[in-house]
Amino acid sequence: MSVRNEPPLARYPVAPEESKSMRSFLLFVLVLVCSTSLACRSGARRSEVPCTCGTPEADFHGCAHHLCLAGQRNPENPDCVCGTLTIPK
Amino acid sequence: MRLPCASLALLVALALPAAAQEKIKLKSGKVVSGRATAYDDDRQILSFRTEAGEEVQWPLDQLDSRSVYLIYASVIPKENGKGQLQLANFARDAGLYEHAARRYGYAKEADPSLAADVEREGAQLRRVAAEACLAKAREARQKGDEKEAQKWLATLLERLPNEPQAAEAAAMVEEGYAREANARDDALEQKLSDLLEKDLKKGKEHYDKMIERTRDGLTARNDGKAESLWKQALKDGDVVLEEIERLAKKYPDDARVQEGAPKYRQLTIDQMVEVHLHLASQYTVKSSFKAAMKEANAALALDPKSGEALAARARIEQASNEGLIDW
Repeated sequence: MSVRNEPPLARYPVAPEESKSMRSFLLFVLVLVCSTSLACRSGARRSEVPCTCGTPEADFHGCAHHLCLAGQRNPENPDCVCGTLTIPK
Repeated sequence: MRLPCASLALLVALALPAAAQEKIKLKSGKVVSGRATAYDDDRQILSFRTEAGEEVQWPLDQLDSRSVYLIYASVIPKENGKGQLQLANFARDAGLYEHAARRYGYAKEADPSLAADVEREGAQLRRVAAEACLAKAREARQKGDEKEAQKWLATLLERLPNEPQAAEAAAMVEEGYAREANARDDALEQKLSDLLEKDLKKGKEHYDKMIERTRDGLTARNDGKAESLWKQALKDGDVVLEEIERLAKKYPDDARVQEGAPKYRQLTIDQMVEVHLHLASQYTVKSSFKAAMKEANAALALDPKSGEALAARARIEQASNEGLIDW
């Protein structure tokens, strides 16, 4: 079907495309919000355990903060030695 | 389309600086935020761009030993057995005992031919860790903080029961544990002395038994005996809680009872949480993770906000998923 034969609005698909990308964006935001809220919920219990790196107790027992248990460094605690620094080669 | 792109760009721009910052600690205790830009292995110098945009270079001897450990940990791959062994020794000498134990495990895994070295250095780790534990207990006792002293003694007995220092720790527990635990309810005992002679007598007897059995579990020479003593201590605790409820109902208008009951309840719960965590620790060492988790959950059922119980549960989960760090 040629453009010429299309109804007038179909030749100017700007509005439908805009709503399509808007829909995609809204969908993206929705997924982001849902995943964030789920992550927060599952992290809520874990976040109850504070980072104890730097205390004598953690030197013996290890730190039970969720980032430390995941092998990552807690950026908030300068005494945290879990995980690694990012050092460009 | 412009709006979503702009929003996304804004989100990314907001997220980047937070993600990019890392903190490094100098020997002086000063903490600097920024980002490592390079590490010169030969000269042992870390290049760092501070939050303010300043480029600085620090020889490792200017950094806090934890930061030095972190740098070494960042540049030595897990597959480098000898490197991990050296890193473990560094961690041990810096007092990072748990990290040292983990690194010895990595070293052995990466290079099984290092097993004898790992065993020798691991024995040294256990020795210095036990000595450090005992030193902490002595220091706390000297400061008059017997509760802190008992915490370190329990750590030594649970984690390093075969070290020579364990004998002295057991003697210190024997001598100080009950004294410290009994002192917790001294004020209540004075206030409720007449009730303790009559209605509270049964509860008090079980309370004292619970403390004795906790102590005896800590100094028991074998795991089975310790387990049995701690389980009996928990039964004592249940009786105490029942007695407290009974008295609170029996004397609804007695202000002393109504005021004292929650305090005795809390003391009892604290003691029971401690016992559950001793059991959890013992089961974890034996890799009985289900049983350990059950004890941690029981502790949390009594005190959902107990930081020690929450941490214990997280550690048990970790050990159950990834294996126990062998000291």
